[in-house]
Amino acid sequence: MSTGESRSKPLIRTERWAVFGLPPLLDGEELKDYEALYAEISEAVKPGDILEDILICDFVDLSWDILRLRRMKAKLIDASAVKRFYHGPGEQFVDRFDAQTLSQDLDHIEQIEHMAAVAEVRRNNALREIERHRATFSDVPGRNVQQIEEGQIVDAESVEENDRT
Amino acid sequence: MISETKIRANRRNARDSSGPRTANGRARSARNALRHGLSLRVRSNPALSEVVETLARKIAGPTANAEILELTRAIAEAQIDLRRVRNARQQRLATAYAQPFYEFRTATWKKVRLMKLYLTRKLADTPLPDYLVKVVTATPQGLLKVATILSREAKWFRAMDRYERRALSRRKFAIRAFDEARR
Repeated sequence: MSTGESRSKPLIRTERWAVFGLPPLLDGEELKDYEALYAEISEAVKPGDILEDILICDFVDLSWDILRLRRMKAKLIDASAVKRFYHGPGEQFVDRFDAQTLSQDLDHIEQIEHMAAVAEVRRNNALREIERHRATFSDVPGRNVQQIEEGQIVDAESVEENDRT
Repeated sequence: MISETKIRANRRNARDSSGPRTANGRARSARNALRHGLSLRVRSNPALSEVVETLARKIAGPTANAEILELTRAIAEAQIDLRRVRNARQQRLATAYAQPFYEFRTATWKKVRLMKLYLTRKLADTPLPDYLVKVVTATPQGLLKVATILSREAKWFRAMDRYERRALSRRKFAIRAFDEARR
């Protein structure tokens, strides 16, 4: 039976873009920030096959969305709570706390919060799926981690034998 | 009782207005009901089918049998669906973001009312004062603009969310079935 495609090196950027599409960046967002986040998560999780790559890409995209939504929520609260009031010609704009506008914008803020919550659930699910995917094979002989460990044991034994002779 | 002449006239008229006649017109009207095409199966699109096949083979590995390949096709199909949904959402966000004066319709109407108030005071010939220009031309920028887009088009984004949820669920169960078959 097939063991699927497993490899030791992570996918390079162009391979990743070809399979998963371009990173979900908006105007003003930096590709290098996204790539840094991807590298950090990829380094921590160490994907073993393309399925894990797919799930990691999801995890990164959703984390990126969550960060954006959190920043957005903060901006929205800030922009709603503090309004610029004008005091007639010749006078300056004055920033004031405006509870009325904030209460009017609460629906939008809640909406953003809901989107972030949904993204968080999906992000956690992606991580859980990686764990489940790995756990499925952890007890099957001849699979990734165990293969490496057995290889090391065999090597160690052969080294010991060589030493004895 | 409708007369025979009237029935004949109706039938004649109906024949005259039977929709577009040219190939271009027919092709265009065939796409009238198409909004984003996300409810269509990936396999109905030859270009996407090819992408699905490539990804399925990549997931299955070089020594996969037909059964495994069929399971990986299900994963690839769900993954490509997910990509389509996310691309559509990203595209919608980017297009709206590129519009220089994107804002809530209520905000536009407030500005219109303000301008109307100003113009009805017979001040049409005098230039707008700076503060009014600032108020009228101010539109949300950066993240506030994104928040405005998400709120204004919430219904559309909720629909995308449903497509995404379905694709994620399909992919999850497809991966589980694949893993189970490989055990």
